[in-house]
Amino acid sequence: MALVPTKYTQDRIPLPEPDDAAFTAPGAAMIVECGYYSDPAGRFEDILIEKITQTVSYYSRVVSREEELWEYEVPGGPPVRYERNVYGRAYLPEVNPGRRYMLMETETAEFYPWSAFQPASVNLSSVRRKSGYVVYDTNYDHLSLTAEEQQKLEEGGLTPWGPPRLIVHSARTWREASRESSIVRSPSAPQTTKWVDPFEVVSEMVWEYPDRYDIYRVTEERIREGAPRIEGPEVQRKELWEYRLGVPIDPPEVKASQQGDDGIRVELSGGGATWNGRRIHPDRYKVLRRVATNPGRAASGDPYGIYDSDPAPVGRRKILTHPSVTDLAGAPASALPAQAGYTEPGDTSEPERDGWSVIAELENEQPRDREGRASVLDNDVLTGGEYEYAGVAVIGSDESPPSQPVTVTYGGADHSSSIKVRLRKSDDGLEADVLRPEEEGVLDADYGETLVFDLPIAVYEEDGSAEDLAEEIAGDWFAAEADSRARIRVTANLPLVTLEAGQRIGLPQIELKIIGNQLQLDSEIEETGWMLEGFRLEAKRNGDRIEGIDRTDLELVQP
Amino acid sequence: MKLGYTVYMNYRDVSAWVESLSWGQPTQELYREFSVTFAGWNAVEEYEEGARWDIFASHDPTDPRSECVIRAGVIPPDREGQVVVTGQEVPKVTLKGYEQFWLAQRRRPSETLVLVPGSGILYDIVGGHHIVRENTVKSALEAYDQPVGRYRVLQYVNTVHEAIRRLSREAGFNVETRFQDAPLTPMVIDPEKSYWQVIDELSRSRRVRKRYRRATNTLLLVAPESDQYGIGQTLNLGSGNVVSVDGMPVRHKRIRRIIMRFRPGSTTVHHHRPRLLV
Repeated sequence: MALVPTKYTQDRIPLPEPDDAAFTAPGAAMIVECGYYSDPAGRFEDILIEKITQTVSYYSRVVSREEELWEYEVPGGPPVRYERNVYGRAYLPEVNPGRRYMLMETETAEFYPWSAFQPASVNLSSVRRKSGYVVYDTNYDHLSLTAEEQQKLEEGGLTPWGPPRLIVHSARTWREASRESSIVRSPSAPQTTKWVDPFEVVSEMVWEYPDRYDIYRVTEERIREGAPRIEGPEVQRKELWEYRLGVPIDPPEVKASQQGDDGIRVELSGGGATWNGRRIHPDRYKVLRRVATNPGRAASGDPYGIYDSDPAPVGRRKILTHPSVTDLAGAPASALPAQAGYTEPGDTSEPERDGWSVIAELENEQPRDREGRASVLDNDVLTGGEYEYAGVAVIGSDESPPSQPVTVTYGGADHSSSIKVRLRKSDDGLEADVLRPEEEGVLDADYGETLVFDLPIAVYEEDGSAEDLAEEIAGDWFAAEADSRARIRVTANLPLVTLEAGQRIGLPQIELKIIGNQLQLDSEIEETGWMLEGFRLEAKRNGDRIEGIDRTDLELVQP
Repeated sequence: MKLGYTVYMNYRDVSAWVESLSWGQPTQELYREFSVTFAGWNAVEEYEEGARWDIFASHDPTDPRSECVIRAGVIPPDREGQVVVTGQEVPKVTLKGYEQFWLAQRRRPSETLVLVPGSGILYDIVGGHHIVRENTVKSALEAYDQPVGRYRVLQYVNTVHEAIRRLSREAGFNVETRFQDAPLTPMVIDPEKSYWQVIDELSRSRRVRKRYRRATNTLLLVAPESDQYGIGQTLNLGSGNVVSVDGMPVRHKRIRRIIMRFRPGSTTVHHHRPRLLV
């Protein structure tokens, strides 16, 4: 037995109180004890190994007991053997008239692995044998002769056969007999009991076909007449076939070019494998991308390190090689492949990443007999950024090595004209990164400021509400901050007492012309009203006389 | 038409000491401030620390307290001892104080606050049974990277507006939220932050304008599109009343990129909308 139970559970189920219908002693209970194999690595759910079901009376006297045992070779595999022993106190004529506690029935099943089947012929799947006590009803058979034959014998001076002989009238297993209440509890009853090994054999047969298994169950009862009973077939369909190529797959060719303001178009073509003189084109392609330089995002604006292209410092990383160990030719041994990524204990720096990531998985757009082709538009790009693309051809679950990378610099004189929203999910949450349409006439790719908001707002990535919210908020900012505003100081010659910041102030009779710096050579101010931002009232004592307030300074700004 | 004024220190009229007086509202602030210079030995000797300051103005000499321009003003306690006394023939006391909203803006919670939508327990109903999916108080505290210490849970804070209302009630002023609402994830509020800072952070992304109405002690958080109509009555100044005007264009900062981080609250990255049972 390969697996042993490492965990036990026990349930005690009280049986109902006695009434007229059921002759149960008070306080009786059923105890179910299960033993499980619990995988120490937690790879599998607990596997039931043994189950013991006992019925006990009030005084803990065992009334019946059933032991079940499953045997496994390895955890996670199918069972190889099953065993069941039933003990009880049933009255069995001649064998157990005193109702002692004894073994009543045994069942064993052996399961054979479903491998190496002979095609289109019968294979044995499992054999289940039940052995146990069988109760026989006996009877007297006086004569087996007909009346005519008997008369002939008598006429010939011969006497017929001697005393009547005992024959088996019918046979039932102990369980059937007790259930039918056909056991007569009297020593003189014409009944007897015998251990029969086995009284029933159930064998499971499998026929394998290319697409299915046919399962037949043959039940052979040894204590009754008749041919074996055959049930079936039970059809079990196979899963689809998968072919796995042992041939190398060629990577596709990659072309990448800027497509207007929208992004970079990456086109993949070709790739695949040649097998048996036949060309197999890829099912899918993967597009890999690496950001060589990304101008819009400095290290300070990169909280999650997404664009951090700096490799970890090389000096802190040591590849363990021992110079005294040589190969057979005497040259120093090279590091084992597993040692290439080895990190010294205590080295807290991030492992070195090459920066390539899969940005798209594309279906082959062409039919199966044509050369493969697929393309994708990468719009997660910034003006002035430098991007490298490579492609991988995929057939089934096999992948080609990545193709030669191509490098594209996005931007230059072109400007995107729409707000771009990108969502990134990391362990720290969801981040929406919104880019404003680029301004005409600004050559520096690093212009402008970055606003960062931490929002404790519930958003849902999948229904697009995060993108909508980000675009709404950011669009509001972009639109409002695009224009310049004028700010003026006004002195009024009267004291204003009830002023409040945020109040609207009109100067209907005043025309303003404000001259600014180079960027804003001449601003004509339309009379759209002003917002009060601040004010001040002052008073001074003039000698002994307290002077009243007669003027107000106002700070106004265009709304 | 000159405006008369009266200055009260702890309900005591000290207008006779006043050398000069000014009040107003600084640009982009929500509180009124005042500065007074007192002259004479009386002012130096009878000056009271921690006093309440009230300044009244009136056009009518028979009713000198018709308009309260500074109500319950305070001198910041850290500046109280620094009242400048200049040693001339006549000693002078110069002080600068603020109206009460200045104080309310600086009020802080005495413990960590946890704001959760609903009761703080997320349930699923499976087969008629309530199955606890998540304790949002626990997950909010786990996502919070500062030491927690003593904390208090504010339940049933489902949206940004409700959070702002609860916080302003704690800080001691009324609030009107006139911008778009959004559902809130469970959040933890640092005890080092003032209520005002948290309200500002909650509403800042919506580019709201903050206004304060003294009359009702109400903070107004107004979306920019409705703010342009102003609060209160529009005041038109004729050219006869304007003595001087000067100004300049203000170019706002050039915003290139906006990053919005949605906190990993319990409801952020689930694949289906959680059901809140309250």
